Amino acid sequence: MNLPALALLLGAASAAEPQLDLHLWGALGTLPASDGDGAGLGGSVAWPLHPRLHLGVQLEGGLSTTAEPWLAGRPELRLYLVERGPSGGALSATLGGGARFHGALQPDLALGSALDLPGSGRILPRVQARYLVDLGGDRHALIAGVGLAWPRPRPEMPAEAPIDEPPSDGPPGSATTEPTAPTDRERWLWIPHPLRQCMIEGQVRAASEGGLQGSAIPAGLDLEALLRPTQGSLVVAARPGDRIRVGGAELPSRADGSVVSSVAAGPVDIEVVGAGRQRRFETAVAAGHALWVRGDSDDRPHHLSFDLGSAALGPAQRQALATLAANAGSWSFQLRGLYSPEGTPEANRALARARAEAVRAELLRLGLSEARLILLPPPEQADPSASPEAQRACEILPLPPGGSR
Amino acid sequence: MSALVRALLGLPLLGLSLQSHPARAQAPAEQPDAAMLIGLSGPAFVSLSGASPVQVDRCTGLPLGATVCTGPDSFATVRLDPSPTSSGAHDVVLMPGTCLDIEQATADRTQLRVERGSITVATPRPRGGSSTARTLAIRTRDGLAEGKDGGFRVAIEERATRTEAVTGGIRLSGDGGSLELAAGKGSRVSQGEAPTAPVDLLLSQALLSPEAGTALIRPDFHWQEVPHGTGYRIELSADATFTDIVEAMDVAEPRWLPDFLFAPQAIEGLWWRVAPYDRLGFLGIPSEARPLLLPPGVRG
Repeated sequence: MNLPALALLLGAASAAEPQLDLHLWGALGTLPASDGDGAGLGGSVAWPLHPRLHLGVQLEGGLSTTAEPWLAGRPELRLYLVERGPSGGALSATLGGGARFHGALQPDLALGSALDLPGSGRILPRVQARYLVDLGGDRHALIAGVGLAWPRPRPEMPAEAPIDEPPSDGPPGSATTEPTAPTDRERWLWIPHPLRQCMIEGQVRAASEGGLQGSAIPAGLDLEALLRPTQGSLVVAARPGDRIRVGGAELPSRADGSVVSSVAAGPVDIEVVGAGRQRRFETAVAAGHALWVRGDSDDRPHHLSFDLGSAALGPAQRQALATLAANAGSWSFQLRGLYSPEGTPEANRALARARAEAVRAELLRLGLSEARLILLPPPEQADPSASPEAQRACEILPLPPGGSR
Repeated sequence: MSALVRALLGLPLLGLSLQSHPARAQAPAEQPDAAMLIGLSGPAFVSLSGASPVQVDRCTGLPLGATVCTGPDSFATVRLDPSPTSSGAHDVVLMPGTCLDIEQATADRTQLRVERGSITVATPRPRGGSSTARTLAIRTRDGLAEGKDGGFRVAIEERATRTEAVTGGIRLSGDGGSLELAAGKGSRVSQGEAPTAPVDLLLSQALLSPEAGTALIRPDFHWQEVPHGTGYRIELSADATFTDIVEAMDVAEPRWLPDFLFAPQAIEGLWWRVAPYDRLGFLGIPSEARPLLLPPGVRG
């Protein structure tokens, strides 16, 4: 590559902040083999048409395998298939068409790809390959290059104003004005209720320390807590009688069954027990935010099955009742024995009462008070629409404190 | 819930090209900001021409040429011409999955381009004793909507742009013609065609519960059914003008009972309102906004 061309590239780059590339290249293969491309230097400069699409000019030169110099130049489109991530890596494809001078001027076409390797700062290693075709003849070449790329800089982070920096614009007391366009040295903050506006950090700090007379910002404002909250809030809406544990600790409920609590930001495990069932919510609370969770207990009836003609509790029934008692919360339960149609009505109703009594006795043994266990009379007859097996049971209906179903 | 998780984790939403930390979109020193991001719920991203998008926070200045995009569960509000000497600045609310270019800003006109998604232009609030609003032009792939009074919506659909003049009249243009769209009317425009004949937007019915001024404990929202309505959009905002939306949901029935609700705690309260959809897909006139208090113990 000649020096004027290189100077042109560098000059253009400095004028418009383009992307720049310089590389060494070598031919991997050429057809016909008698006229190999050899090796040389190349470079390109490109400007973005779109964040992913850049238009530029590429210049390359070198010596062929027969030690003859050649020079090529071509406009080139570069499409970023994978854009630069935070570390700078990117993958792009290129399409160029121009001319190559090698004894005579010959139009050519170039298809290529480039991989920008992650790096630090604004200079990234670039590995690239291109397939070249002379349009006027049947010459083909595959070349590879290694070099450096200077991609267009990403938007910079704003320079933060020092904490003790005085207000950078406006007279004291102007902190309540509408926001002005920020400059590089101003850091703007969102000041929530009651101000609800963007303000310059320096002004906010001065006002909160009592340094801005007439400011709407209250003196003594805990700015750090405002800007970097560590707590969030949790509202669990449950039903009266439910018990709510947050992070394993039971929290006192309000009369409506809800819990409102401040919690540290982060994952939170919520457990709601009531009506004989348990609900768990694995969620998270964000700093400075409130999270409402619908934690109502499931108050559908429980159904405890028995064997034909039996009111005896087996291990499975006892385990089910133990789970119900452990998750009772402050709920009460109505107990209604059921029966299948086999047998006489009198015997069946007696069996149903015995089933309900057995359940009541077991729940009393498990710690529930008598006042919370209400025996209901058995139905006058078996339900013809239900299966016999489903009716050999005791129905347990959860009842919230002081309420009815 | 996905919005909550993303908000907590700050997950990049647009692929490899994102920074996951807030940044200010910086313009050349001589170029004043044409807008400012004043409302944000969830992640939003700003890119300047030729640069990769960066995740930004509230109070980010936006120069001409900036593109603002909201994440799939995010809401953002852009205030146009945030300088203290301007009057009647427009606030533009970006709904989830929206990208907005700030194309032009002159003394009497601002032009934006909606690339995808949907926006709501709030009614300008007079400032500095003057109420002379600038013309706001919203360009899309299909046409152009222009108005001074705000109070309209623009939504990019698969084959058309849907425009609803809610409280302010606008001029709607397509390649095949233009029309004046009065407040309370909706129209669509497709590429190469004139806007469709205006249709009347449905009116909302009364909100039922929660009652105005009560503390929000149980997020159960009920409202009256709208005759001929095919669905509803309920919106919750941290301000009465709905330029700080924290949640919006389309539902089929006249109620919304979310399992989870997520909102900032340093707010005065929450306002909610509902608008019905008609059989043509136009979103109607929203109900009056009803204020709710944060429960004692929540406010930060």
